[in-house]
Amino acid sequence: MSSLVECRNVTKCYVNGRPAVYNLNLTLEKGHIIGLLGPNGSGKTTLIKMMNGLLKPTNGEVLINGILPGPQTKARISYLPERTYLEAQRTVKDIVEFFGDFYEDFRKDRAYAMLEALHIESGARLKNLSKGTKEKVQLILVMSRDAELYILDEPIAGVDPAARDYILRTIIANFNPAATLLICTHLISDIESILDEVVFIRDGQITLKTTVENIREQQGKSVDQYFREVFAC
Amino acid sequence: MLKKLFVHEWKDSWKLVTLFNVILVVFTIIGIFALSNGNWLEAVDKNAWYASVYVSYFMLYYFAILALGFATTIYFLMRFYKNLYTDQGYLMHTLPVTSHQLILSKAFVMYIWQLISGCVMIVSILLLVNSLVLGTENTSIFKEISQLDFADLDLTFLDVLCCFIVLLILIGAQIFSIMFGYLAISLGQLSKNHKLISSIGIYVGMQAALQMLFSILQLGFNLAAINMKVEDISEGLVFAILLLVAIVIFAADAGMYMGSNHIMKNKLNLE
Amino acid sequence: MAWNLENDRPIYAQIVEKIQFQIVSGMYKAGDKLPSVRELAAIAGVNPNTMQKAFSELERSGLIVTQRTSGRIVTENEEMIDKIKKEMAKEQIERFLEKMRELGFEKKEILEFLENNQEEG
Repeated sequence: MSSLVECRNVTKCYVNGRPAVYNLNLTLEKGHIIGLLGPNGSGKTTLIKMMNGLLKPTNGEVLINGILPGPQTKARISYLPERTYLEAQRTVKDIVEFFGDFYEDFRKDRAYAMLEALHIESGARLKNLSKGTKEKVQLILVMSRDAELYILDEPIAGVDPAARDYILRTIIANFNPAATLLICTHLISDIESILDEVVFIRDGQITLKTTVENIREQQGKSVDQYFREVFAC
Repeated sequence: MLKKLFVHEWKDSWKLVTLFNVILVVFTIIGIFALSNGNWLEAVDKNAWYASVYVSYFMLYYFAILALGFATTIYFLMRFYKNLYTDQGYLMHTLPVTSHQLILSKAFVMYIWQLISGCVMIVSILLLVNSLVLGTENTSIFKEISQLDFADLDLTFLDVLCCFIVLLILIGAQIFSIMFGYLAISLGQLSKNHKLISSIGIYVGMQAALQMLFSILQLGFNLAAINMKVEDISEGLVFAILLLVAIVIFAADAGMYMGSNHIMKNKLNLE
Repeated sequence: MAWNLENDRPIYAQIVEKIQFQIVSGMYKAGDKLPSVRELAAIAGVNPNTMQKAFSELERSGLIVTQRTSGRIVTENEEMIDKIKKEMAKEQIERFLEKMRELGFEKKEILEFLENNQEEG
């Protein structure tokens, strides 16, 4: 069985300057919740963009289910970028219908149930929602899909703690056991308990890939503490 | 997927362009009633106040035409830029669609609206001119046209073919204006900073280069034609030139399309 | 609300203790059906794989039994629950005694102290 994500000798150079990702190798298996952890500018977002087909590697290849990123892989990846990507003029309902139209694995009933639980009016226009609420809407959209791979870039940064708890619970309760969830964040302590694997990235290379329990058993400390130690300035 | 993209692009864009079309139609209707009435025109001659209303009407009418032209070109090009090369690109480029489908769906909607708006403009101007004629000469352009006898024209097969190619050239030229904008916007994405400003700069630069090319072509054409007499210009030559123009335009369309697609597919770099 | 977990120990071990405590304290009684791995993971706010590992551990000890029809239930063997309860009590007492000794109390004094404390309470 092939792995879900495979990065082989991936290098990405932007117009000038040093490469954002350099000769990186990484394999992600099915059925895990993985934290992609690294300081700012470590190449996290570049790596994620390449998995989503938003960037082409300068060298090497990124394979999803054994094939290069394209319409087929995009149909199976549910991606939450850092950015608010929704058109301000649209209503929440418009967007839900839009997602339902394009993604076969989108579950509208689940989206509406989550919107209701978080008291978000589906008739509201995006431009009238607060930044935090917009982020919630995007997270709901992403988690309402039955995707094989979820990639969440800083999913909880702007969300209040109560909603954060609800959303984390929803993630655990909803996501398919065969699916993999890749969470990219600085706020490790908030999500540590829902991770089972962690990947440390630094200067565009993977420096560590192990399980949360391994770190706790061998180091006797949380991933958050260990991360602070490893990346101490 | 192409159809879905098309439908959503249509749903998101029809309101504004329709509004500008309706504005022009309303102005046209007002104009038809006012201008076809001979008394009005006499009143304008005698009364300064009426005259100023008359002048402002034509100014507003002119702005309505400009606004419609703006809505069907700049508005759609801005949508292309915003949808595909700003934050919204994170959504559009992670849909399970190809870059071809993204470009084609947008180009198709823009093309249709250019066609609709173009027809509305032509009909509007025609009706206004007709009303002017009606108000002064007491006859109608449409009446004159209907009295033309096409059989008198004695069209050959080549004539019809030439007309057909002219039609093709018109279509190709419209596609050209769309692809020209898409390419300029896409090329702007290759610069590291200030992508929108780069796009606009490239657009203006490409426009200037195009003008220069036309001037040179025209000069060459004039030089070539300097020793020609009207009788020398055979129908065959006209046909050949038209055909060449059509081929060049469609080749340019295809080239610009592929250039935009290549950038979108391989060089995409959203901030 | 997510369970409070300590930072310095593996999560699954803490979950095992937590569920043991919930069974011993009677929150889940002998023969009771337990929530699914997924549900309990969502309640606890932990990874489902980690919860699965904890369940396997509890199954190995016999405290939890998997039944083909009704999912996972707490063992009906009350003796076993009682045994674990006593083990946990013993652990608490040992911890208490150690702390008291550190404070400088002798065994006799501790017993006296406990009795007095009970009368007061």
